[in-house]
Amino acid sequence: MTSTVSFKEKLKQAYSVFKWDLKSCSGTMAVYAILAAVFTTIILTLCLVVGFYAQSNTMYDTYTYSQSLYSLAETPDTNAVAEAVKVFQIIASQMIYFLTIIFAIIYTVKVYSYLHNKRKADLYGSLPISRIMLFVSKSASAYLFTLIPAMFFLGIIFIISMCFGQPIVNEAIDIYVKLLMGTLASISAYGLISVCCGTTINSVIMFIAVCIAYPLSAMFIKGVANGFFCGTYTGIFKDHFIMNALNPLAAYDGINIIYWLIFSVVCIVSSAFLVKRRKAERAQASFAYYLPCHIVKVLVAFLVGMFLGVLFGSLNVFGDGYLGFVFGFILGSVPAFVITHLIFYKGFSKLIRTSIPLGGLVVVVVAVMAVCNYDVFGYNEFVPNFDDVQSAGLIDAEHFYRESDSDLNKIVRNSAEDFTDKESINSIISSHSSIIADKDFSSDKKFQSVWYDMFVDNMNIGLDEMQYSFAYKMNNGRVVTRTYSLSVYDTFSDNYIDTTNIVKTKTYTEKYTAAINAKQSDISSVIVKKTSYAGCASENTDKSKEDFAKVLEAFREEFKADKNNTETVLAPLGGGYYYEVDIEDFKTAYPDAVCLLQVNTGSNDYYSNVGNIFTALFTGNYSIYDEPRQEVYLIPKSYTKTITALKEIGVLNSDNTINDDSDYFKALNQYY
Amino acid sequence: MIELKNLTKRFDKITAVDNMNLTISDGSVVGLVGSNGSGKSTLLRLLSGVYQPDGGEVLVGGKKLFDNPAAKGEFYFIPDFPYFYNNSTINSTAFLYRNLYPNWSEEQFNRFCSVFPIKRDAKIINMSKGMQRQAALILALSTCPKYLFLDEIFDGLDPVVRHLLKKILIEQVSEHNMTVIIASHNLRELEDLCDRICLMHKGRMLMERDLDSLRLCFRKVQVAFSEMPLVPNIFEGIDVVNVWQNGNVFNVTIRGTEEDFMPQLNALNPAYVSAMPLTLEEIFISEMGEAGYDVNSIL
Repeated sequence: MTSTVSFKEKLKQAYSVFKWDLKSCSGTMAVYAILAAVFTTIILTLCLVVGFYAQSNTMYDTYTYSQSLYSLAETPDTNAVAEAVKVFQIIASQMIYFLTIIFAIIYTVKVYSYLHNKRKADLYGSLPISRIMLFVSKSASAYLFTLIPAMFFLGIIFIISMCFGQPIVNEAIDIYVKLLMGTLASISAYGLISVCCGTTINSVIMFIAVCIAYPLSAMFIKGVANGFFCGTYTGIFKDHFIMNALNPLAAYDGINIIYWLIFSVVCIVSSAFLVKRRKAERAQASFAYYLPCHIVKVLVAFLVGMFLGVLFGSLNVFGDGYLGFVFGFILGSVPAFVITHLIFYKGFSKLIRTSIPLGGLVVVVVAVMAVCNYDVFGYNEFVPNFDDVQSAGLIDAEHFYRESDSDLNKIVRNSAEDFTDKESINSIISSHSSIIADKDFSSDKKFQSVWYDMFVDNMNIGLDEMQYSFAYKMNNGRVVTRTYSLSVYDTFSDNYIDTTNIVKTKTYTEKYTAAINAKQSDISSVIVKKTSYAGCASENTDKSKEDFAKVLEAFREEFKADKNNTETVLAPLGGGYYYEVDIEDFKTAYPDAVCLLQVNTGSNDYYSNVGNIFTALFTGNYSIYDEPRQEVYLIPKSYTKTITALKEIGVLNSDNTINDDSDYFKALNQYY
Repeated sequence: MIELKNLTKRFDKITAVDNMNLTISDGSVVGLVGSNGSGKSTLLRLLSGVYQPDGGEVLVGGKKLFDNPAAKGEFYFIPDFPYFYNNSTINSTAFLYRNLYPNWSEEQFNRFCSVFPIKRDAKIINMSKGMQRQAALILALSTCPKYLFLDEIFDGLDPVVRHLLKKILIEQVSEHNMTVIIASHNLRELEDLCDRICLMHKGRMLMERDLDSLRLCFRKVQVAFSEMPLVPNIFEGIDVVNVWQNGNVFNVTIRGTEEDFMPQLNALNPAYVSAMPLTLEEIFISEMGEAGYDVNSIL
């Protein structure tokens, strides 16, 4: 008798199991292939026809769709085809993406069911293949059955896009990465859950419970941090892995790749370790290993408890938000725990013995919420004494540019060293005090803020994550920050405070404005205004961009070197619609004023592009950085380099008046 | 050779196999018999590596069996309810086994496919219980196992196929020195096939012996007296397993041979006395009765 099996033999065995699974999943794969092929064809046809109609303005003509398609083939309109194919690629890729996720779940459940059936356990347990090798080959089957067909169809979509026009390479790569990571993390996690569970239904319930309960629980915790500690900046948790740490479906977002790789490896290694020791007789029992069951029971109890607790807290039940919370939490968590137990254990057995974690949960949550509710550490009312502050900073989101991938928390912390003069520090502390003074820190308001944070702040719908931020460097070297956003707390007048003392400073402008700091690619347009409704504006051509880049470069150089005219230059800043100003408004106060220079970032045109709309629609990425923002500066006569640059591109006449005959001269709508 | 050393398997509070010791030599056909829930199927699952022992060990050629693919390549286990996927055929299942079992024989596969009267391309799941077992047997025998474990294999097989199976098994044992362990309640079939019998009850081995010696050491004796002998205990000194009296007629199961008890019975001057060997079923009932598992103790 041979005592060992060579590696080659092991691979051969694993390959046999893989091929066997392939045969047993062939029906499901055929359904996937048919659906993918049919949907791709439908989407391609519709995109070409509708796209061609739209571009040719023949939508209302008497053409039929087939005539349109025929015309397209005969005399293709390059732009129409390119745009239509772009939309096709986006929609078809997303369709394959969602279809793949659905089928990944089906394959995975099917493949790992060998652990959950006594008869299958007899079959697989007696096969001459090691338990780990069997598990690995089963996992490989699940990965490959999911990924290979998806890659095949995505490849076809890409090739079609390439044949018809310009394919969106980023979109294709993005979808590939998302599918790769999502599939890896989800299958690994489900594999681990399958090893721990005795039945397929328990595995599926547990997987769904973890995927739903964990992120919602994390949202509640973040909501409490935001709602109960006013001024906390929790934006650092946006897209952070911790918010979805146990939800492998989040890996389909294609972010936090390193985390999901580690997560997958941990799941696979744990599964391999456990599957070797797993008792085959646990098939069709509730669980083979009970730890995940306890975790899920506690998670579900926490989630339901928090839901009812925060609801009752915000409704001020018993006249006290905290008492309402405690009542709601117990009312929600205990039944949720018992019901989860009944589902997993198919009865009341071991209920009492396994309820200790529930008791611990209730005690911990009630205690932590008491600390939060009664603000034991005085966090909410904190405003530093002037004498304790070494330097301070304030950022007003209305006058703030930052790159889309920048770390806001870091910017806020660094702002603590912006102002060291007594006047500015006093102004910042005074602004901070005025915000605190107008806030309602009652218990029910705090609980209402949790909902706000959960259901508004967590949706990526373009809301500012910050309205004002304050940062202080204390005498002991410690940096203290407070970041306030619009929320149910904000009852102060018009939600605004006067920050012009800080915003209209050279220090603030140099650090936080687009005119001085923005990358050329972030600037949507530069305008030299004659009136609020007419002036010279940059255009979307290379020459125009180059021309106005020179102007901006000259302005930056002069502003940084400027020591005398800063107040003049910054005169238009502040106020509501300050960009609707006219040069004549400033002539009296500033006789040296030549023109107004407006720098715009973001664009309203972004969503008028059909490709961008679909990208935003499918990815949910309605980026705040695409919102239009304007900054207006007054150019005095002393800014000679800027004026010379404006003359060179034909925007200013030799007498410093706006050149009405310039190619850039146009009427300005409200967005200019 | 398979060795069981202090083998124990528990399911929560139930001990299915309790500290069992057994040695099975190569080329033997062993019958596992016992009451329901005695641990026969569990023992087979332990032997085939499906279950991991909670105590003790199963050694094959001196090496541990559990999760040992090299050893398991020479085993084949047909459980009482063999599993087949919905779309499995004999051919498609053979596709899996070809690369997994090192001794797979295409020649044997073709031979057994023609010997057993079933279609190799038909879906196994749609077949009758007996035909599913035949499918399992074709696949099992094609792997040319050194050790074949069969759980209630005769269940559902018609007499012709039962006969065919016994013939094939005997041929495999004699030609390839295959070891067969069969758990079954069909003692009549075991009697034809096995050379050793293991009797299990409540997870323990009550008895383990060669079938021939087992048969030899039990006698079913009928003895009748015209006048009852005037002795306090008629069977004193005889190893009686059980006795049933109807007037002056006694039906007695005796452990021993005629030489052991006939002189003593003849000395009592019976009107009639006859002795014959017990069937395996009768031995089973007798032994189980002695272990407290008989009809009288149940009803």
